[in-house]
Amino acid sequence: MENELDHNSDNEVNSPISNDNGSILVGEGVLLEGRIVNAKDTNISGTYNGSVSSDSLYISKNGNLTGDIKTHDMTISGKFTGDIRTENSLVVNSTASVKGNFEYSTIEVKFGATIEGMVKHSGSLSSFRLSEKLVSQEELDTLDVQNSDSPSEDNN
Amino acid sequence: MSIFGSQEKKENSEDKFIFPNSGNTTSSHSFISDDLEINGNITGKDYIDFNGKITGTLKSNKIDIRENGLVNGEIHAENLIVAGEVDGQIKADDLYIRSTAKIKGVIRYKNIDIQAGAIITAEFIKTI
Repeated sequence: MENELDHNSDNEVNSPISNDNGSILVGEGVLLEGRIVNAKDTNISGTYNGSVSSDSLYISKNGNLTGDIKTHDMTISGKFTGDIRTENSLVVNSTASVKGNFEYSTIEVKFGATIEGMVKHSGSLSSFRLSEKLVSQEELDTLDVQNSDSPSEDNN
Repeated sequence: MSIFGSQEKKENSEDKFIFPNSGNTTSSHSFISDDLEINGNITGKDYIDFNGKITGTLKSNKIDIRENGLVNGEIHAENLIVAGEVDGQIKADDLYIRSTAKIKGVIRYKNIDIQAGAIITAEFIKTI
């Protein structure tokens, strides 16, 4: 069956990873250089040198990526060197080693990870309160509860 | 269905406030409450539970910057937990940054852990 793929029409390739639109996997042991644009899911398990623009990007434990990244969500378990801009979340797992400039909205770093360079919260600084207190969501919720009929807790 | 003693409120016999380390003379536990504003340096050898505001340097073995805590300056600790706000330099062996933290400046660490939600704009330097 596998050898007969060539005889199928060009668009239909029954590979486990090519079914989803916008997916790219650089498998373990593979060395790839270039530019990835407009991907949905990118998984680097091998070595990739180049830029990535992808909705989500995952560098697995053995993955090694050098380049400039633009993503919504990114998770790193392997090695990374370069610049990252994640519009949403950046997760650096304990096995990860990352170096460069990072701009993020949410960052999570697991104990044991190595992270070096400039880390910048996008839209930062304005959210610093200096000495004045911000009202937390919990406080707002409490106010809401108090405004509505406060459920008195009866302990019978 | 006991009737006797039901009207007496005796439940909290342990009502009195006890400092966490009272009676323990081998370690010192310092508490900085949230109405304290300090201009200057604090140097300790053990544990500091920091809820106040400081402009200056905070130095001890283990430091907790609580949610209300505000540090403008430097923090040196072997074990540091930041849940409050820091503007300046941090140097810690084991650094735990909680989701409520806001940090600006330079972070030097050996081990680091950051909870999602923390707002950090800083230079990260791993020390050996």
